[in-house]
Amino acid sequence: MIKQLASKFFKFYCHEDYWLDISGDLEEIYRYNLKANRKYPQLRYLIQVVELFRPSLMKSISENSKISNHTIMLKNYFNVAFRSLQKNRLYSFINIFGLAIGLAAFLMINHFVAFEKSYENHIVNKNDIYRVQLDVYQNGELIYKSSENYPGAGPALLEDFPDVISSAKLYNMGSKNNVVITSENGEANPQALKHKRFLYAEAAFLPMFSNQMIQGDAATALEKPFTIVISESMAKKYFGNENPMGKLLRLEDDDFNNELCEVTGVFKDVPENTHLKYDVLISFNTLFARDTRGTGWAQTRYGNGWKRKDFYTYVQLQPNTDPKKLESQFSALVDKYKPENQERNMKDVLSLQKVKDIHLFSQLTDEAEVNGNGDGVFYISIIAFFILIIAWVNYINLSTARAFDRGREVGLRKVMGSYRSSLITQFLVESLVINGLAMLLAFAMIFITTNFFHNLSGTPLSYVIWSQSWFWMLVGGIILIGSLLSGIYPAFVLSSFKPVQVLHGKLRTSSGGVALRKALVIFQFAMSVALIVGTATVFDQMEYMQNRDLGFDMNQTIVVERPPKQDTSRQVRIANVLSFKTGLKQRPEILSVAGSTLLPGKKLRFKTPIRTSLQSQEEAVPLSVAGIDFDFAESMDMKIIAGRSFSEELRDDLDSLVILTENASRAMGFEKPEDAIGKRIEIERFRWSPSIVGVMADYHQENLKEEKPKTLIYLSGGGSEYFMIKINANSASQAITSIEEQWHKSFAGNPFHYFFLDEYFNSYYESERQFKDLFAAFSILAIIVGCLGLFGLSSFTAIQRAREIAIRKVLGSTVLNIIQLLSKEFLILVGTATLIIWPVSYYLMDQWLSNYPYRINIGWSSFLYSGVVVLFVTAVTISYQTLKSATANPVDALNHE
Amino acid sequence: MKEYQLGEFEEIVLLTVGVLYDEAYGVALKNEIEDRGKRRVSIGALQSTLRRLEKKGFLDSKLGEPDKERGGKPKRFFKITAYGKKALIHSKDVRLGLWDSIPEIALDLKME
Repeated sequence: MIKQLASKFFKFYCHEDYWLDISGDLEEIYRYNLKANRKYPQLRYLIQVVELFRPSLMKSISENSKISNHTIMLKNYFNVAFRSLQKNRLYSFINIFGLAIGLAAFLMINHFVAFEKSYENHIVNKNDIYRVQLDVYQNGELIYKSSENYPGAGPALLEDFPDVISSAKLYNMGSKNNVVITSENGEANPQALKHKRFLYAEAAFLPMFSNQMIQGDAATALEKPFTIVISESMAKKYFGNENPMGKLLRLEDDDFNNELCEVTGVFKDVPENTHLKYDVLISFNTLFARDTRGTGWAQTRYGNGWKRKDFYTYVQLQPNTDPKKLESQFSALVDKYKPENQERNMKDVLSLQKVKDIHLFSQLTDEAEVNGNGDGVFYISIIAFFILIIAWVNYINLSTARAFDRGREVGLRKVMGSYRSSLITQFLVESLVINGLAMLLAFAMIFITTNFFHNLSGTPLSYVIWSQSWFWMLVGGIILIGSLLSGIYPAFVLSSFKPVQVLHGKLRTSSGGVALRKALVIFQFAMSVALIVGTATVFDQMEYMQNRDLGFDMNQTIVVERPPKQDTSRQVRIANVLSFKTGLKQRPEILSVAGSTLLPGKKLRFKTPIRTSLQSQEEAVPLSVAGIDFDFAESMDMKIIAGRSFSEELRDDLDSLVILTENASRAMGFEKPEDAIGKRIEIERFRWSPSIVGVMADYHQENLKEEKPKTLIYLSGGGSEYFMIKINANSASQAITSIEEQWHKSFAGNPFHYFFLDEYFNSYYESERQFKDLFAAFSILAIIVGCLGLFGLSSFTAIQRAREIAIRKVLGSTVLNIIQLLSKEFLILVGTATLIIWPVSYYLMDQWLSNYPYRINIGWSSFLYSGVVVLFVTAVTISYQTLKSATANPVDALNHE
Repeated sequence: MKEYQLGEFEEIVLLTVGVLYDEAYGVALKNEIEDRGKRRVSIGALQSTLRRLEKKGFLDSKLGEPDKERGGKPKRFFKITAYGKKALIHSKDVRLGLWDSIPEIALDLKME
C-alpha cells in the first residue's frame, strides 16, 4: 500500500528519462530487503522515494518543449500576485489572517458537525437498520415515548413481515441492575469489575451491527446460553495477554443470578461515535436458561411477552424497503398480539427509527446514552457558514476599497495592450493565492488548537480531522469556490476601469461600489450582533437551568448504587443495608444517608394508572412511581406542603401509606393538597390500596429540558437502589474513604463505585454545554474577523480622504471634529446593522428557547449589551486610524502635488 | 582547468563506475560505495550525481535488458567517457602534486 503510493508519487515527479531505470533500482532494493528480512521494506522504499525528490531528477517545466504562452502567462499572474501581496503588507496580512480565522473556524465546526453526523457509520447496513420505538397511550394520553420495546415485538415483526430480514433484541439490564463479572480459572488475583456497558444480546446482533471479531464467529458466538462476548480492552483487563477464548467469567447481579459464562468471542472495541456502547455481551438465551423449573415464565418475560417493555429492538429491512409503508401495518400487528389493549383503553404505537438518526434526533425514555442535539448541530453549522462569508466579505470590501491604488496599475496595463480577460484572470489568481495562503495558515491554526478544540466540542481525539476525506474535499472546494466568490466582483470592477480616467487621476470609486461595501459591512456586523445575542441567550438559559431551585438539594451528595452481589435472604439484605446506613451515620464527616429507588436526573421508569377509591377505572391517571426510605425527604431537603413525610417514630408501615407530588395530587382531582390527605387510592396493577399521608412540593426529577413528573412515592424499606450520602464539604476525601470502608464492611465482595449527584445531574446538559461553548468561541471569532475587515477598511478610507482631512484642518477643524467625521460613517453602519438584526435574533432565540419547558424570557439586557459591545469594539478598531489621520500634519498630505 | 573540476562525491562515483566496469548501475554502485567507503549513500544523492556527471559529459550510459528481478525494468549501465577519464586523471594529478609538496615534517607533527 505504502509502496504503491510511493511509486505513484515517484512516477509523478520523476523525469521521464530517468524513471525507468531508477524505479528498477528501487524495485531491486525492495526485493533484496524483503529477502533479507529487513524491517519495514515498504517504509524504506518510501524514504528512498523522498530522498530522490530533488530538482535535478524532477520533470522540469523549463525543459518541457510543449510549454505554451499560457503557462508563461500563468507564471506571470502568480508573480504579480505575490508582488502585490508584498507591496502592501498590512492589507495582505488583514486579508490572509482574517480569511484564515474564518477558514479555520469553518473547518473546525465542520469537524464537530461531521463527527456528530458520523454516528453509526461503522455499521455496514446502517441505512437498513431501524430501532423499533414504542409510544404508549393511556386514556388517550401519551405516557411514554420509549426507546425500549416489548420482548415479543422483535420476533413478531420478523415473523409477520418478509421485509424484515433480521431482528436483534437487547436486554438493557445494565441500566437497571448492577452486575459484577469476575474472572475465574483459578488465578491468584481474580478481577472483579462492575459493568454498566453490558447487554444481553441475541445472536443476530453481532452481525447486524457489523462487530469486527478478533476471535470467535460473529454469527454464532452468542447462540448458546451462558456464553459471553467481550471487547478487546475487556479481554486485556480480565486475561492480560492470555487467550480469552473458552475462559470462564462469573456473572453476579442483584437479581441473585450467579452463573459461569464461557467467552466465545472477542470484538474490537466499539467506536466513540455510536449511540449504543457496550463492552460485554451475554447471549440472550442465558435469560431463558434461568427458568430452571421450566414454568415458562422466562419465555413470557424475555421471549414473546407483550407486558414489560425493556428491550432495545433493532430490525434490519430488505434494502429499499419503505419504512413508512411498513409502519402503517404495525397497528394491526399490535392488535393481533395485544388484544387486551382495547378493554384497558390503551394504545401502543410501534414505529421505526433510523439507526443513523438516533444520536441526533432521538430523545426518548431510556436512551442508551444522553444523545446529541440535532438542532444545536444545525445552528452551529449555520454559524460556520456565516463566519466563512464574513471572512470572504472582508476580502471583497478590502479589494474594492483598494481599487484606487490598483486603478493606475490597471490603466497602465490596458494602455500596454492587456485584454480585459487577462486582467480578470490576474485578479482571480490573486484571490486564489490569498485564499491558498489563508488555507495554509488555517491549517496551522487548526493544528495548534487541536486539543483545545476537541475539549471544547467533546469530539474524541481519535477522530482526527486530517484523516477525513470530507476534510480535503471541503478544503479543495472552499479554495476554489472562495477564490471565485470573493475574487469575481473585485476582478470585474477593477478590470472595468477606463485607462484615460484612472491615469488622469480622476477615479472615484463608483457610488455602486460604495453602496455595496456599506451593505456588506452592515451584513457582517448584523451577523456579529446576532451571534452575541445568541451567545448571551444561550448563556442565560444555561445559567437558569443549572441554578434553578430543583426542589431538592444536590450539593455535596455522593451516590452509591446498591451492591450487585447480595445474599439471597431478605433478612440478611435488610440487615446489611441497615448496617451500612447506621455505620455511616456515626461518622462525623457524613451528614446523612438516605435510600431510594429514584435517582435525581434519571427518568422514572415506571408508570401505572392510579385512581382514588371513589373514582371509576376510566378516571385513573398514569402516575410515575418511586420509592424512598424514611430519611430521604429530610436528607434531600424536599418540602412537604401538606400532611407529613414517612416517619420512623410513628412506625409507618411499608404497605399502607404513600406520598403524592403536588401535580400528582392535582391530576387526581384534589383541588388543594390538603384535600388529599387521608384519602385512599387504588392501584389495580399491584392490587394495592394505600392512603395518602402527605403531599410533596413538585421537584425536578430530571434536567430542565423535561417536565416535572407526577409521582406517587411509596416507602421503599430495604429495597433501595441508590444511597444518597450527604457529606461535610470540608472533609470530602475523608468522607469518601469512610464510605468505602463501610461499603466493604457491609457489602463484602462488591467493588466500590461512587459519583457526585450534581455532576451526574448536570451531565444531562452536556450537549447544551457543548453548544454554549462552541457558540461563544465562534461568535468571538466572527467578531474578530469582522473587526479585522473594518480596520482595513478604515485605514483605506483614511488614506483616501487624507487630502480632504488636511484641507479641513488647514481651514480650522479641530482634531475632535475630524475624529467625529471619520468615526461617524462606521458607527452609523454598525448601528444600522444592530437595529436591523435585533428583531431577527429575537425571533430566532425565542424559537430556540421554545424547546425548553423551563426557560428564560429574553430580556432587553442582552440586546443592549450586544449593541454596546459591537459599537465599542468598532470604535476601538477604527480609533487607531482615525486618531492617526486626525493628528497628522496637514503639510504631509498636501505637499504631494 | 575549470571544466575538469570534480566534487568529492562526484569523484568517488566516477571512480566506482570505473571499478565496476561492466556492472556499473545504480544499485551496484550504491552497494560498492557503501562497502568501500563505510558510509551510507542515499539513492537520491547517487542518482542526481550520476545524472549530473552524465550531463557534464563525464559519463555515458545505456539501458540494458528488461529484468524480471526488477519488476521488468532495465538497468542503466554507466561508462566513463574519455572526457571523464581526463577529469579523473587531472584530479589525481592535482592531489599527487599536493601530496608531494607536503614537507615531511608537517605530516610528522600531525601523527602525534
